[in-house]
Amino acid sequence: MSILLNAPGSGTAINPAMTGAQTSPVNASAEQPVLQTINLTKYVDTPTGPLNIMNNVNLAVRSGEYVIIYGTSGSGKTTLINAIAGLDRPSAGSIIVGGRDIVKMSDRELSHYRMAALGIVYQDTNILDALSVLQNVEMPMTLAGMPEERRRPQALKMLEVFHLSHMANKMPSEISAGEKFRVALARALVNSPLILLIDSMIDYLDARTADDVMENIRFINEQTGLAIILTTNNPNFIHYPHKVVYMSGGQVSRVIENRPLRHSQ
Amino acid sequence: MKNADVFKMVWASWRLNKNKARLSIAVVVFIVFVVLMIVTLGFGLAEATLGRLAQQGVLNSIDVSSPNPDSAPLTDTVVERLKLIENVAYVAPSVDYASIAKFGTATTDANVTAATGEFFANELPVMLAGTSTFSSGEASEVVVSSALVKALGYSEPGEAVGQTIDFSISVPDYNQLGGDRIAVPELLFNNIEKQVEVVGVTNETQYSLAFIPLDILGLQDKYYSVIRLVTKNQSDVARVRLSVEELGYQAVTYGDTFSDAQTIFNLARIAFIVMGAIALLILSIVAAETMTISLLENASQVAVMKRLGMDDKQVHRLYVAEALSFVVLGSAIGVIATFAVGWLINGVVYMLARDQGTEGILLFHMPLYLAPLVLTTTAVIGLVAGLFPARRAVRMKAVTK
Repeated sequence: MSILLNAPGSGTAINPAMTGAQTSPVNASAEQPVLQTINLTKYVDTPTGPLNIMNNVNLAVRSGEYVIIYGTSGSGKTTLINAIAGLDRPSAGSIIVGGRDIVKMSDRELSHYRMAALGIVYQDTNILDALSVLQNVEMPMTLAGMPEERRRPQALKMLEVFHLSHMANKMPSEISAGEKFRVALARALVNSPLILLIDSMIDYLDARTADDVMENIRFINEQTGLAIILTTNNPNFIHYPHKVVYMSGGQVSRVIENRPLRHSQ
Repeated sequence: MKNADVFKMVWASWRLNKNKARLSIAVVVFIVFVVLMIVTLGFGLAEATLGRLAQQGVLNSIDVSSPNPDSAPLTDTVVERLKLIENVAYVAPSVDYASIAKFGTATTDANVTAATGEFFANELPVMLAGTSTFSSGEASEVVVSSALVKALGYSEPGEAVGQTIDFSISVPDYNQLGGDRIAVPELLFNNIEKQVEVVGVTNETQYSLAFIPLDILGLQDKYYSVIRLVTKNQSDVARVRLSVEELGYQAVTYGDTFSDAQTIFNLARIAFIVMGAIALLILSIVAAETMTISLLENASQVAVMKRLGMDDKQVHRLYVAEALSFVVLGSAIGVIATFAVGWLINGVVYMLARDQGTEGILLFHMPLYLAPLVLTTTAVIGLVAGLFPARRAVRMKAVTK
């Protein structure tokens, strides 16, 4: 199954200004990191007392940078992603996005931040079962209160980019797992986010599909200059991004800066 | 998120869980239907009795009689005095006579009530055939009971309409008595022979009764049995009645007769309100329960929406809108179903009643205000019932692991 996107010049390609969607609640500049975590710490209550699941995580992601957070199960990857997404508040530390500390944001501000500044793709339950493929891709714009006549063309354009135009009116139950991931990616990008978060998405795919997905993500990064943070426990993919952050026991154990390898088909 | 989009999402959710949505709506339809059928039956029965009486002015009527007809007879002078009472719409005297009715070779005793047309307008006879009104106050016409028609040999009430009956009416000759009404010996009666055309037959099957216009008897001195007063409004009855009693006459109102019935209907209305309240309470519990189950089933979907940026207010709106939608839709269908079933039953009952020769009644009656009242009430219930699951949805975590 190939889920490659359009190559540059071969038709519709991803353009960061393509959707022209939301005014982000955070601002980013090329000089400053678009995302920075400072001493990020998280405790959870257990019957035996507080358990430290994330400890002093410091991370900086620049605009256009592609980062993989690599670690085994329980290393704290998803905890970090949830904190960056504003879905789970850390016990201590700061998360600076575009100059604002999202830890200090209210729930309502966090919702707006997710809607406007983030594209999020989780490995499960990404798609709203009750809505068609097109309606799913429209959803971030629907939540933002954009009228249908404005959001529909943008969603259709995004489906075209992901070769999903022909299944715009299909329901999630009628499409494959790989297609669902593409729908989730299309939806994550439709609002022109500052950062794309992808949590463990590729870990549950077969090798061929996972390779295709990784190519897609790299292509998205190159085309849009979007900062991308992807978590995985698969060491085969650590050659793709600009930077690999190794996590273990809730801590960053090491950071390797590398240039992505060109991976030709 | 725009309201239209909220309802589109509700609709999409229903489409995905068709059976659950249908079942939820069906429960609401059933509750509203059962409650409304009982309530509209109550309204129908009340309308068939009190409503019709009130509509035809019977409850505005006061029948005046003399406590001592010998010393204080009801004469035209009394009629004129009664007309002067404030808020009296009209005064209709009547007098009862014994008579012998003849048709062909058949004869029978009959009680003749001679009165003005206004008196009969308020008499409310249930007609089996023909009409209850005379073409004029001096027309040689008669409305008879079906018992009289049978006694004269007709097999069907309708056969008598248009036929002519001879009446020999025994009218006391007060001149021969020198105005003394204490004792009226049989010899002092004048027999007035009248040939009258039957214009209508009432449903009275026990007594041979006949009603004729008073003026066709051509009487000089009239001593009435009853004088009927009709007030302008039902609210005037008590005051007018007091005025009549102050004049020294007895007054009986139909309100006296129907006050017991009114009390029963009022009690029934209270019972309906209590039943309705219980049913609506059940409805709100069903709505809240359905929404909570729906919420628990769709926890992962709520999480996805939150991850996409749906804020607490939008989550709240979505769940309240869903509760509101299915309760209002269910109650709307319930109202329509009640109206349709009530209309069907009314039609069948009415036709059966007409076939049996009695006047049909509308068993189920839905007042105009009832449908909007039910829809508004259920909308409020939907809103309230949606609050609990909506609050719960707001509290749900966006991360499920």
